[in-house]
Amino acid sequence: MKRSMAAAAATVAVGISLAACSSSTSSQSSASDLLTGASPTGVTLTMWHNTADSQALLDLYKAYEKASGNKIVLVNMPQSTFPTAVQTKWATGARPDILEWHGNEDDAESLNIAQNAIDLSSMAFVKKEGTLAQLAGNIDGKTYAASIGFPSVWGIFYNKKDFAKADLSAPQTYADLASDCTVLKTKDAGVSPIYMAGGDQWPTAVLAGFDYMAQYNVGAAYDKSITSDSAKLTDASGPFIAGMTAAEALDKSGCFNSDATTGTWLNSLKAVLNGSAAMVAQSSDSIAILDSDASSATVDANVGFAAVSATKSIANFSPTPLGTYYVPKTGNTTKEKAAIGFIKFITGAGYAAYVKESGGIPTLSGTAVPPLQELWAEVEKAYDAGAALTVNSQIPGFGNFGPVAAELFAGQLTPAQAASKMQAYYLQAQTAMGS
Amino acid sequence: MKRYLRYVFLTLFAIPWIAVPFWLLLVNSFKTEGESNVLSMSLPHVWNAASNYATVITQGQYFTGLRNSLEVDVPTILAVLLLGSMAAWTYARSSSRSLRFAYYGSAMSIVLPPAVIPTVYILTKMGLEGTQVGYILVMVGTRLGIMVFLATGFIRSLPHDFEEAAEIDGASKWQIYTKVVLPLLAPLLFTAAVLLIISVWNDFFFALFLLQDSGSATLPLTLYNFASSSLHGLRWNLVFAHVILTSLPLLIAYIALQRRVLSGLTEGGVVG
Amino acid sequence: MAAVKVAGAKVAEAPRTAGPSGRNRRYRLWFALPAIVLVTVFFLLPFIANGVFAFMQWTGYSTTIRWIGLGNFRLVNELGILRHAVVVTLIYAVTGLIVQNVVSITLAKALQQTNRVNTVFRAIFFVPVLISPLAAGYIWAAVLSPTGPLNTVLPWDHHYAWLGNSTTALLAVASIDAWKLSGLITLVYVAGFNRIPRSVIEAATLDGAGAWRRFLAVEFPLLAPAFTFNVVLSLIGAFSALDIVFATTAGGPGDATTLLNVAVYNEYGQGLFGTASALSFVVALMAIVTAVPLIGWLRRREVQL
Repeated sequence: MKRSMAAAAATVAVGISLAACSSSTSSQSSASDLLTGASPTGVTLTMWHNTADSQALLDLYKAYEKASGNKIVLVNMPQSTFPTAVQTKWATGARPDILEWHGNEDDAESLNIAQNAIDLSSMAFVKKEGTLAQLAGNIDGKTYAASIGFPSVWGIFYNKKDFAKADLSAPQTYADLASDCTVLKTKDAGVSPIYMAGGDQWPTAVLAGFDYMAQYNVGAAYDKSITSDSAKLTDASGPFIAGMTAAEALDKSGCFNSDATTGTWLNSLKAVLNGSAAMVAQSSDSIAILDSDASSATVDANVGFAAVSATKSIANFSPTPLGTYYVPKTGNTTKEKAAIGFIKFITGAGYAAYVKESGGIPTLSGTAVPPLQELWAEVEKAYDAGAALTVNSQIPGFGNFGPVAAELFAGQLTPAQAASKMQAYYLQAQTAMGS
Repeated sequence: MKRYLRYVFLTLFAIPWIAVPFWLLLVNSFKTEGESNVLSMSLPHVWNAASNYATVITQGQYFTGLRNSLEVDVPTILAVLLLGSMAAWTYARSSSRSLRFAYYGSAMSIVLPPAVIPTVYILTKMGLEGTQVGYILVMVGTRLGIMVFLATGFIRSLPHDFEEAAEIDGASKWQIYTKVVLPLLAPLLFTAAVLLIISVWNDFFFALFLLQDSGSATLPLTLYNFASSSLHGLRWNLVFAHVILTSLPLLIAYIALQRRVLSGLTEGGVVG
Repeated sequence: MAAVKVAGAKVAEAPRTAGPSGRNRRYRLWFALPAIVLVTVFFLLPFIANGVFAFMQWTGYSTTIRWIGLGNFRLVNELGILRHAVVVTLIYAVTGLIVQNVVSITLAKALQQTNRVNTVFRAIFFVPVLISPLAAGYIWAAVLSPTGPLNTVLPWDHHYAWLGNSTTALLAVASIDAWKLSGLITLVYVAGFNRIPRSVIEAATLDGAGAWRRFLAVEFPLLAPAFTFNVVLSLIGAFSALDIVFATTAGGPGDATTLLNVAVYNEYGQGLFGTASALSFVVALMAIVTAVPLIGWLRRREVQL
């Protein structure tokens, strides 16, 4: 009797798993039906959002609730483990009504956005986003995301006072990082030359990969070489391993803070603001956090932004996760329509107020640029001067480089081993997508 | 003399083992953010307790979490105690092979780490994801194993006479169960309830996957959300205040029932 | 027939009568049915699903799920994740075991007698058992932090990040787990000690055995069932451990505290669900291999008693 029950259970299990294969082809109304027409009210929408959302974004959500009569239930995805948190929940089959997620093509593919989210290409904001719409949430020419936050521009934030005291000018290359570090160590022993936030799962990727690789990825050159197999991540003389080696060298020569393995992103920003750290490898998403710790005047007086890459001063950028929204297919037409209404609001009626409050650079054309604080102006300059796409944007499987970089800095992997691990993830993702 | 040495030893050991961590917890929950960041054992210079606890109660959703925890945990524990002992009685009194198989299967479930994601996947397919009912079902399903194991062993050691006498008197199976077996089972039920309460009340992982979306977050979840969602990093004073408030219900229950809990565990047949 | 003494129950010696008749069996089955169904759906089914997905290619990148045999296991092996997680989990289990048993047995011996003072102490040591693993993690993360009490007390290097060094982080996390359960295990051992017949102890004392000798030669062997129970509990705990790691190191620094269950969670986080299932399946197999001998052994002891 138990045997037949077990058999029945097994059948059900296999049945469920096979059903999962075809779950995505369940009936939905065509995209055009959803995108037109009035938006319903009185609906409750769930949104998975990054806990690092600025106050401006949180106020935007409230403004939407007021204007539409709908309610948004925010589900916190902790910023320190953001990709993992979203992926694990996604794996269970749970789908939010609105998804705030990275805009990188690779990150979008890791959730199979093409099958799982609504195509927003025919919406009004796409034209206004311009070239960003080709990059943010874009798979095979179709745009699945609205990106109202300015792309994360990655580089080095440095403390102006520490640099002035040590008679240094802003760094431009990794060689500068190394020499500046040496100078800072001798001039001021109480200051950590570079604050490494190894306790959070993603900041490690910046110094170990993003910044170094910027100059090699202009025009997505490096990404294309990898996906077309003309180069491998594991090439011994390639820039990927060279970058990790350079970052590791900085670690080994004592440039990092003493609690590098437990340091957090939020503490790194506090440190570069008050001068206990001279440099932090971070993105422009940090500016809103800095501004919440001190007035923008104080921030401008203490912190500067520098574009730093291997041998050239080139910044890299990727569509920001803070302000990029997808509409997953949930099968619930009312909620999907309301979610589309959300997208319309944040790129339309509510957009101007958001830009004003955030003080950042608008991504949609037709909106006046607010007077920028100095730090934002420096970021804009680096972006306009020809920033490259961040290396992880278009290599499938590369999205979660942070944990591997953390293992590198913890001395558990050599650059060569780290490269092999990333190569294995890339191959896995590529095989999965190809089927 | 030996007795005093023993007490001295125990006191000395209790200092780093119990006093230090809990004193740190308590005293820092009274400090301001800046003071608490130093994480010292000293008394606060600025008494910030009222503000801290008030923030936790409002922003930390304390009462929501408390209510939700009670709403899901009480039914879960009652269900495990009832269904588990019912099954245990069957397993203990039957010699059928298929039932023995079921018993081993149950026992095996204690040993296997719960596969959270496939479990949630199944619930999602059933349409129960995010519901309190779904959470209760999962909690019960994963806790039955221990209950069945303990209770079966216990019942096996009880003599058959009382049950047989009742049966001869014409009582139905249900009556035998409620009037004869359950009362005899009482001490084990109490011990099991204690263990279950501790395990279920503090569950975090299933709650993270199953209850995040709705307003049904249980206490451990509200603690985690509170600790991990601040834009200003980990504010120890607030986190500690939340920890104290989260642990308070169980601590109060424990103080009230302490003697029975301890005697049940020390003299009870937890391990044969 | 077992003659286990249980609080509150009277054990009467009575002749066993014949087992239940066929008609009764049907009713009894109904009693067990809810439990069987719940355990099947919410435990057996996920376990089977895990086993099935372990051999499938299932990622976030594609909705197609197809059979790839041992591919996931090979990948997990190639990435070194499995081997490393097993090593970390074993170190965790052994450390926890040692700390827990040394502390619990010592405390149990000291608190063996049930008098007023001892009851107070037993109660005090039981408090950590009550708080959630998450809370325990936060508390100890604070105690072990660079500016926390531990560093203040130590005479050298005042700002050592205990949770930042690979080795100390693992030992620390395992010890926190042990700390949390010790109060409970102490009580189990107290029961164990008190169950040893006085006659045996007296005989040993008459033979001239000192307290230490008595413990090693007489008490400890008779504690064996509780001890084995504990060993397996620690191992199983290590296989399922997640909450404490989550609240302290999140698997770090690097992968120093990436226990098996943490590794499974991280693999899901990479979008590689099939690989995660494979890892989870291995964990389940290891747990069974560890626990089945114990269940058999315990069952045999039940009969012996």
